[in-house]
Amino acid sequence: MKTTVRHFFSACLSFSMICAFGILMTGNAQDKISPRLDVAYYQMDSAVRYLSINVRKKIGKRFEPIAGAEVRLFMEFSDETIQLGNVVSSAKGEGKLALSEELLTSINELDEYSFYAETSETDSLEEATEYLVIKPSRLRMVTEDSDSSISVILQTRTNGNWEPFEGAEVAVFIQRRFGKILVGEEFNVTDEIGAVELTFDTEIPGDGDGLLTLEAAIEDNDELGNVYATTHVQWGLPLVIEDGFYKRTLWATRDKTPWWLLIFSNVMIAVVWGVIIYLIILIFRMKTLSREVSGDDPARKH
Amino acid sequence: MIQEKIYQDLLPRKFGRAGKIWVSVLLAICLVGAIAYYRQLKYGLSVTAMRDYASWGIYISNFVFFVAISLVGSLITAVLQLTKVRWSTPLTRIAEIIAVSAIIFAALIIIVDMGRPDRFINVLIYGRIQSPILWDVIVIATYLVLGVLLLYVALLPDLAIIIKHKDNIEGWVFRIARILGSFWKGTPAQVRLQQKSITILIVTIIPVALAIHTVTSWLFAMTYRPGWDSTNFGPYFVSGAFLVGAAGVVVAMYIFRKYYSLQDYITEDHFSHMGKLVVLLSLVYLYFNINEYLVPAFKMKKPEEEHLRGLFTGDFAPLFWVVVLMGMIVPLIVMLFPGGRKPLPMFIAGTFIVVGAWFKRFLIVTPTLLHPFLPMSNVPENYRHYFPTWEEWAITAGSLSGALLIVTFLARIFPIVPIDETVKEKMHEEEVRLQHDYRGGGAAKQIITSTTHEAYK
Repeated sequence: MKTTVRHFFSACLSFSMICAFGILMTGNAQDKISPRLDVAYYQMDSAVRYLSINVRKKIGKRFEPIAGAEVRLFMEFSDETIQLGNVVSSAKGEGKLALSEELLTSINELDEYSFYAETSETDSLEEATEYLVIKPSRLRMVTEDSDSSISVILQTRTNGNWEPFEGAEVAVFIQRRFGKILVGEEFNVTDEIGAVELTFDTEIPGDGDGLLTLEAAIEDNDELGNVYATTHVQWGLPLVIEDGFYKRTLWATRDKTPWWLLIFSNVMIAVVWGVIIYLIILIFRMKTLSREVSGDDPARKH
Repeated sequence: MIQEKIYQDLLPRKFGRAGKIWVSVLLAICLVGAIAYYRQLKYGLSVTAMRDYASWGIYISNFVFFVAISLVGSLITAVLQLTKVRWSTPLTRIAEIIAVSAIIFAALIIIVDMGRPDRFINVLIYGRIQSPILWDVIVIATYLVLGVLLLYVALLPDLAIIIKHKDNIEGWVFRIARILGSFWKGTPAQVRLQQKSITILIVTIIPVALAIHTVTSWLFAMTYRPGWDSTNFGPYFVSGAFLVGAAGVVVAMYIFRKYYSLQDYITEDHFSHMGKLVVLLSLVYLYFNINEYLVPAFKMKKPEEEHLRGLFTGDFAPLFWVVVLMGMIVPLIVMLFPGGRKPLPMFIAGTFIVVGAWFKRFLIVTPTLLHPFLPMSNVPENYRHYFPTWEEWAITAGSLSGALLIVTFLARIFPIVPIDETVKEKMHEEEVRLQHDYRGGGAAKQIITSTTHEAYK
């Protein structure tokens, strides 16, 4: 009996410990978040290049940004790995790291860039890594004023030479102050010579000289990343800003009151004050009548 | 006999003890207001709670209130007379006096709101006719002159009666009456000119009265701000002005009736008529209020939402709901019933409307300024709220007391109920009664006509 009781208590104790350990483990597993780390490559006009990171976590069916996560970025070569720098994610879970000019010069001859990003394990985050391999590219726009045609030419570095790249989707936009306007089709695929041909047939205001900024964009390409090229063309309608400073407006100085307001207000004032003056005359006339009745009128005295 | 009794009842009388206390209290409040204004002149507008955001406070609320209440002159005198509403005769003088005193203080309080009142002259010298502020200056000046003329021209026969009863009144009142109206002999030619003048005045004063408050509303509506950006603001202000003006007359009617024992002239019928008028005006004003709040509340554009939430459930909610309930709904319900249109309930309801109307103007002016389109940033905490300083309260109370002092002074020197018109009306009633009694109207009419003419001699 005693043994049975002892076994029973031992079993209960073991069960409790297993449960406690399970809860503890589950709790720990829930506390740590497995982040999703994305790295993207951006190239602007062959001059500015940077890496963009995005750190998120999945809550239910949607992703939410992780702020303050430190991401280390590396570039791998055949014989070595160099650290490019660290980026701390913003409130939106984003961050950028520009590639230095020295680095760009040193990797100028490469046919492929290999990037590597990682976050360390912390109290709240699990470790995350991400690799990105990019083919160096060259995107150019050639425009012809006579027929407003645009040629976009895409080349990539292959075996040390710049070769045409076929099959990339390119879109061309007009840059505006708060957004972009698409020119032609949304998706134009480069042909065997790496080119896309478009015709500009939009009438749109440019700056004072009719200048517009065109932008060719390859976005989220698996091999090339995000590549942009811009050029200026004089195909816009010259913007003529009407200067109303010396005109008669509601916001002008008093000597430039609009005629309609000047006439309307003065006529109204004249009419009402004319009535008032007439009423005052009537009062004086009543006074005169009084003199006539009482015989004070000098004319009557004679 | 009848007219002698009317003269005795309605000629200006000396103040009793209550009148003297009343004037002393008003003078004391004015004095405190003057001290506060001296401090404001000396130290600038920093003595007020107005800052970058709430740059219009109770001075402008008070200004709108004065302009609103001044419209009563056009309502009672002009609109009702033009539409041949005869019961309003004993109330016309009260309405005209309130209108004149209110518009004088509307003009003064706007200068008080200026940090540098000495620069007011620049509005006249360099004013741009494109600016609604200049429209307001012009229309207030015009309305003041028309109001004074309406009061004066209608007063002429009564001035002659005062002069005639020299023995019954004090010397200084007699001298004022003689300066102003000694030329009035009541000849048919003078009466014709006087009637002509009054007709011209009541026709002219209606559009000017509408203009004065519409332009005042445009001071707000011409700016792009939540709560003010409304095409409805003109009629909204005018309807509110007619309501507060009518309520002001009700309050004044009660006080003058009680103080001067005018029960024979301002009867319960007058209160009943005014009650019905106030009910009508309350309904119209409620309609405009619903328009003014429901339409933006339905769309709930972000800045409007903040402003409306501030009024409905935020910092201003207690004041807002008290004003709506006690200043509009409750008086309306009270006056709907015949029992509520008796003098005392009317007086209480009228007081609620007038006080509510003052705070309503505050709710129109200030909450909007505290909800600008661009969020407030990098400002001290006190810039985000507005509660008037003692100087502002004192100056505002002083201006209200000043307006009441003018009403009191004018009621002291002029008959508060038009004597001449009352005599004519009573004579007419008597004539009708005699015609009815004797079925020999001709003889009675002769008697009455000769009696009426006596009044001017």
